[in-house]
Amino acid sequence: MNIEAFQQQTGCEVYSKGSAREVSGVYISDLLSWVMGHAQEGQAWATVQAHENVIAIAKLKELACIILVEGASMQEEVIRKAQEEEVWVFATLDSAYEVAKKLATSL
Amino acid sequence: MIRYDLHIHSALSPCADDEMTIQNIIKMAHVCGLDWIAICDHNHYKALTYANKLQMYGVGLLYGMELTTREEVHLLALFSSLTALTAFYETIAPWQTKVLHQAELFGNQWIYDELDQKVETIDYTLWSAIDCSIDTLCQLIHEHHGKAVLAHIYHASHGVLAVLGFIPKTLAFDAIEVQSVQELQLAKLSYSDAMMFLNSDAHRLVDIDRNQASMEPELWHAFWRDLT
Repeated sequence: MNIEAFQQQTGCEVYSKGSAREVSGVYISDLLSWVMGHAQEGQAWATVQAHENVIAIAKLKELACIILVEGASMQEEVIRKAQEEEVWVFATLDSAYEVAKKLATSL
Repeated sequence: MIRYDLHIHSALSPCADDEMTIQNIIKMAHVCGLDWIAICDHNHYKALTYANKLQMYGVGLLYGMELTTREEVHLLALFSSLTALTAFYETIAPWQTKVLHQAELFGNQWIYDELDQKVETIDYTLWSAIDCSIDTLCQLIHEHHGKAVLAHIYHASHGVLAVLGFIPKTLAFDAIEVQSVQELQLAKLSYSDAMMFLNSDAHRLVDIDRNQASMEPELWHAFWRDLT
């Protein structure tokens, strides 16, 4: 699934855009060391962790996007950083489980 | 050498023994031959209210808290006076998440006076995070003339490395804390420029000074100079 279709299907708000790319699956974790060790390239990463380090880790692991779930807030400067780095960041009030459920049939 | 242990919990912390009164901690520190200690409870300062009425036996006291940041990183905030710590706490108190505490599940949150009489219980859980970013908390600590120390950086669930993956370059912390000589050696390889403290994170009296840490006086005084 491409990232635009992904965003439409989840109904997420767009905080930051990157280049066109494919989403291969969903990865859920809030512990960033764990994400660095286990997330796979192309996955959409659902988390409540909004620290600036998420941007670096999404780039490092070549994740498709970050989905900030459950209305977790992200500071303006972090969003700006994501925009500069062209990392897709979405936001939703849904839980990570609900986001994954919406995508379960199409990924 | 300066003998120190800058991360000791009192009985106010739910995870600490009930016998961790401030008086007992100071007496134990004296027995251990410590020059300086810091008492740091989880997300609260109030156990230190009566500390200035106690005999100190020559032990220097720093006034601290162990903050749980919004990211769930543990961060020590250390101050040279109760006034500074209290002012800092009042700044961050509005961001404290207040969930009813269940002592039978998580342990007691007791405050003792200088006679070791139990005088107060905090009835919301001190486990919950302060809803404020680690960057802002470091900034607020500095505004209140305190020091921000990244607590037990190698801790598997609440150390900065586990939670944030790496120490952000932009983070304005003053020192990092490790919990063993092995960790100290490891940290010196990775963070050679950083000030480091080897603390006990004592939750029981017997854990105080378990690492028998010491530091060159010059290094110690240079670090704390602007605080006193």
